[in-house]
Amino acid sequence: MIRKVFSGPLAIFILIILLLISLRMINSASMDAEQFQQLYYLLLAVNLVILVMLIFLIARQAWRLLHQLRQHVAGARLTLRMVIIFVSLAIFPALVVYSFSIQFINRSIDSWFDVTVEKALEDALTLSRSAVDERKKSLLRQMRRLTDETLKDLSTLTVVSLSEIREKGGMDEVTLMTPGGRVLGSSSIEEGDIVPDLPSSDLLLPLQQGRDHVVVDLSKNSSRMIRILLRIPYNNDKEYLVLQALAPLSERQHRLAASVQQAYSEYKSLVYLRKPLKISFTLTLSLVLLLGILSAVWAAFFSAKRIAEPIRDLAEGTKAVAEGEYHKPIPLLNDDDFGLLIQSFNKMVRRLSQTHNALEESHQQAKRQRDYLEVVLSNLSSGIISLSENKAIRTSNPEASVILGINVNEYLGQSLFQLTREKPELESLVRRIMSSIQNRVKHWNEEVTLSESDGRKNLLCRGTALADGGYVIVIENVTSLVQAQRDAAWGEVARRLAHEIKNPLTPIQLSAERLRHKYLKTMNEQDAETLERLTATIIHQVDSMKEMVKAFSEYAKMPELKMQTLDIESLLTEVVDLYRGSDKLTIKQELGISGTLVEVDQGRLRQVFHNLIKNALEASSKNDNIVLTVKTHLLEHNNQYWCELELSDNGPGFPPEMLANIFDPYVTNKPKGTGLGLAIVKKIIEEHGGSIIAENASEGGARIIIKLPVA
Amino acid sequence: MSNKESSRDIKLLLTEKPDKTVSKKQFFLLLFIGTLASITIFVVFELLPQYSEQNKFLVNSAKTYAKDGDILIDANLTMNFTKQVVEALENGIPLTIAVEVQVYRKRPWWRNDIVKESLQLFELRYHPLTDVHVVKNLADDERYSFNSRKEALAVLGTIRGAHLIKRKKLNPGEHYFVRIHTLLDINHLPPALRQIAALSSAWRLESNWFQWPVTFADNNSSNQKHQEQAQ
Repeated sequence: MIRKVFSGPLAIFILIILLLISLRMINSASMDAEQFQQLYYLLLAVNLVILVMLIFLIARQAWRLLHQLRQHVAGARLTLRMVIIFVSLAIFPALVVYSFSIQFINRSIDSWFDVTVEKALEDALTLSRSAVDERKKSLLRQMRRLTDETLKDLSTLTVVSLSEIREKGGMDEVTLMTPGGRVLGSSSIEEGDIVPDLPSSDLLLPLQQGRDHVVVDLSKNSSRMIRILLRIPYNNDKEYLVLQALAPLSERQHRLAASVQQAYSEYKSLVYLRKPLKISFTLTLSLVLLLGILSAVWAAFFSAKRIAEPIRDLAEGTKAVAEGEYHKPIPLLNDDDFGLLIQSFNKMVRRLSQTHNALEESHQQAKRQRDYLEVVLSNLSSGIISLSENKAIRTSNPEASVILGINVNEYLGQSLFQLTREKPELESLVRRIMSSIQNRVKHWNEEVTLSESDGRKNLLCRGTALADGGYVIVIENVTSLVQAQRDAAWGEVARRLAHEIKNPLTPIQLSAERLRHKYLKTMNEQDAETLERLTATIIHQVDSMKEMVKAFSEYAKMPELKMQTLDIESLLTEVVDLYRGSDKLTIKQELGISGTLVEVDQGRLRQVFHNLIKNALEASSKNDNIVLTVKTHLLEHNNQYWCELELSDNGPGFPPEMLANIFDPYVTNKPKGTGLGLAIVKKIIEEHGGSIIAENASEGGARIIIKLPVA
Repeated sequence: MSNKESSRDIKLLLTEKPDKTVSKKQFFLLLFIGTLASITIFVVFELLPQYSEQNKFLVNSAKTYAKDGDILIDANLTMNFTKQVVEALENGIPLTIAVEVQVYRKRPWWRNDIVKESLQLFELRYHPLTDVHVVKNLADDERYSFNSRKEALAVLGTIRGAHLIKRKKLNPGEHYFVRIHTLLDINHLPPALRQIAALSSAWRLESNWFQWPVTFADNNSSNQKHQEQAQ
């Protein structure tokens, strides 16, 4: 409320009313007022207070404006311009009116006075004065003569003599008294007037100095206007008495003289008052001007501020919107044009805000979806690579890197061919993919087999063209699936072989034995020998077939594993030590994982080692000096410790064409082998959760590497 | 409908603006303006009258005495005019001289109880034709003519046996004081001259208050030794 009073239009109104009242009061105070002085001071104080307040308020506004100008606040320059316009609009007319008023007052006051009138009045006064002086002198002369004649001897003085003087001189009253004012005798023209009109003490002063004295008093209403004071010396001039005679002035003379005196006095005082009057008017006018100008300046500040305020608000609002702040509506100050503008602005901002929110919401949704997709993709067991229009890698999921064995994310933005630089094995895959893309096939499926150091990899690739010209390639590692299918197929083959072949073998063998037994005795020696040889061959072959069937059935149905935790290295060396003792065989050992415990089926693992060592010895049997190297060491992969067992020989190595399928059944280069040895080894190792790799060492010979998880 | 709602929202926002209460800043602003106003009023009412012509109007001595059941007063006042005032007088401006006497009872911790107050106004006027100075008592229209201004002022400044108060109006158990001062009353000047007189120190002719205790003893038992200068 108080702030409103001090800053609103109410304040200006109050100030102006106060100003008008005080000016009106100054005006009336200088006209008539018993308590002029107090009132004047009060009004002066009020005016000064208003003045000081105005100056203070203006200074405050000016300081604020200056501050805003320095801070480059929106609307400040407009305010300044409007203040300058308003102030000049107010000040110039006021100054013009002021100067004209001052001039007018000075001229009109001066014009009241006329030099000729002044001169005439002065002349009249001089004339009157000389007339009065003349009368005074003649009266004095006359009275002196009468007194000298009448009062020759003071001792004989009586009231009669005073009456005589009065009558002869034509006086109204004659009084004789001492210089101290004691009346000795008096004679008056009026019978009842016994109290003489005594002179004031100062009138008697000239008599003390030995001079007679005449005083004319025109102010008195009585007719006794001329007072003649005579010095009556006695006692040889040492002392004196005072004779006062009051002479009448004729009515006409009195009227004329009084009129002249009054007119002169009044004119003189008017002339004298001319200067103070001008000063008073100038002072009042100046005060009015000062207050008026200050009020105008303040009003200018106030109105300019009021006009500029909505503009500033708008500018700030626009700035806020530009900075993305939509939740700050501009306050509506009044219902004028600016109010309408501000309303529209607020409406616009609200719309913008709604749009922005919707956009933000959809953005968030898109982000959520993308995150979801990313999580799904990263957890997929399929590798996914997306290509841009220019066949550069756009995105890939982690599984893609795992499947391809190369960090695809390092090649983002590069061509797929760049992958082959680091890993040439991928070339066949990349070529297949690129040819499909270049042929603009929208959907395609390809099966690709990669030959890598750690075995064959079967990949299933699917490509789909995107709307933007890019491609999505899904790569699945189906190696284990293919392997499992193959294993299952082989298992079935083995089972059926065992079943179908095993059954007729015993009757064949028995029949052969019966043939021999029954007909050997009856035959001649030559035939008997033939029969003997033939049946022996049958029996022998059946035995070997039985062996083979047994091996197949073993492969087909492996017994349950009997797992136990034991030192893998000691198990290995135990098996290896069984082969020591031959001159042809040198066993080299590089062991480094003594005491490492692995959960294994002891018997099966022994079988694995025997198979591998036997294979090595058989393969290198042509060598004069067979060298078998056994190495063990520990390694960490995917937060899991593995023990790696490496067996290598100095034989001819695996035939390269067999290397890819070396662990499949029936893959062998031995004339008598079933081709199941390495297949069984691999099956056992895989049942233990490990892996096996067969390769040819660069220095020659075959090398088998087994990895088993540490317990 | 949304339009109406939005305008209401904005108005609500408006009412939430913390304009309505007087903040600390506004309080200090008001305090500052109030102080300014007080200083201005103090300067106008207290310091301006102080800044006057010293020793032009003086109370030289004053005394009271009892006679025939009345308390009478004698006083000697000095009145001298500045040259601006003399100039006005000689140009026919009548001057009014006020002599104010107060009888009061002093009360501790309380303002004085004024028993009697008397204000005598005398008009001094110069008559150019007859070259006399006329003093007029404005109360009874009594006139006295003087040859010179000095004589007129000397007579005005000499008060002898003026009636002050009936003795029975004063309670002998109480202590009473009398104080007197004289001044040139600018309220009676012509309007055109008043503003100048109010602002000019040459026109501010005023004696200090001269005060002394009232004694009830008969005859001229002088109290001048107990005089004390007020203010």
